[in-house]
Amino acid sequence: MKILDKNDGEKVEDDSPINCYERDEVDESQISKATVIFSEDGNIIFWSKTAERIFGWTAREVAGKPFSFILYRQFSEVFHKEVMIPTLQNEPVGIAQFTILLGVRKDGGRIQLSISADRWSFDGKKSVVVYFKGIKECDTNMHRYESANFNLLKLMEQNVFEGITIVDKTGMVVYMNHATEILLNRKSEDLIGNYFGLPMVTGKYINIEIIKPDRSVRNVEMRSAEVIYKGEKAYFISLRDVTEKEILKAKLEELAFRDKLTGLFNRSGFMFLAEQQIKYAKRIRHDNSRCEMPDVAMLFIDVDGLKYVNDNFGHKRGDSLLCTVAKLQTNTFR
Amino acid sequence: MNKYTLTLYVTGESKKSKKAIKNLMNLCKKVTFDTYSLEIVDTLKNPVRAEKAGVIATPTLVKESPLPVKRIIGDLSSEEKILSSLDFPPVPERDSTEGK
Repeated sequence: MKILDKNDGEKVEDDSPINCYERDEVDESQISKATVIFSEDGNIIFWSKTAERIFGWTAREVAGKPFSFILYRQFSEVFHKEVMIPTLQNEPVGIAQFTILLGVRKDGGRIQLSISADRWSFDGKKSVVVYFKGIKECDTNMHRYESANFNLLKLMEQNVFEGITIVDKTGMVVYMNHATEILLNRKSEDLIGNYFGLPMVTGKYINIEIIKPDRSVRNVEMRSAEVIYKGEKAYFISLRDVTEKEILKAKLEELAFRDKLTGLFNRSGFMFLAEQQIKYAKRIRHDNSRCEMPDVAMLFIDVDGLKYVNDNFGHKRGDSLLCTVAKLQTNTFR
Repeated sequence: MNKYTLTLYVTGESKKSKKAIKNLMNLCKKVTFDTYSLEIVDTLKNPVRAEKAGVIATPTLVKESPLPVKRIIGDLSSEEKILSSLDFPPVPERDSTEGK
């Protein structure tokens, strides 16, 4: 297969699948879109100079490589399903579709790409031509502070205990501090450029769960605010682990609402539940005015002769009696 | 018409999960039925699926198609923001005489 050598322009014999690489004919530095042609199987068969500039790989390095080689892992499937297949099948969805994916550069950096695709005939074979345009590079080096407040930012970065993350308007992580790395138990290099998600509620705390790599789950309070980061709209997200706090809260509720001896609801617990049930009954009646059931009913159960048991058999037996009655109640009622 | 493919990732039967599912169901009732497909994935029962999708926080709603992929996080209580973020067509106002 003949190609033009990239160094001296002489024709050389090569087994590379790239058979058209006339680099010197067009000044591609003026072209903002990179042209890449994929075979029907999804392998790279044409790689333009602009593609080299955007991704960092030369044509020889990517020749014959699958598209997953230049795309961030979670976008490979999407690219195949939403771009390659429809375009090859000449479906409208694939032709000149404009979308945004995340590409991987040779230096390991990630870059947001806008793409458009069209069906192409290359050497008489069905192929897909994709035009990539680099939108912006993702910041994978969070320690690169450019402002005069270098020391202050560095101190904050290393010493703030609350997880701080910035996602761009697409929900992609563009910055995270050391506390977030600890909270998520993941390296910033693995998460920057990945999609965290767009927070819908700004200005107040909402509760979410964080799934750690070991699949354990932490309860986290998330608060977000719309900000301008590097000249673009972004979301400033603070994350606070409240797992222990919630466990403690549940324990305190248990202590406050339940009787220690029997495990039944005490007066506080009863009042809390009763208020809830009365509100619920009122709502049911309001929603269904034909309902003929009473709003709420209360059953009173008393243990006769407890004093006699305590006086004659001791308080231990009395407690045991109360526990037995409580057990009967919990087994009988919901 | 583009078909919307939505996946909601939740964690077990926590209050947060239940609230997100309830809010999403309410929202789906307002969107024309044949324009979307919805799947709910429990990350505790199917952790591999969440890992594959790169979901690290729940509840997360992912719009897989049409492109671009979008994901939003939270209990999905803000209907208008969700619809606009997912590029859903605006919900048509219901006829007040409908169903009477």
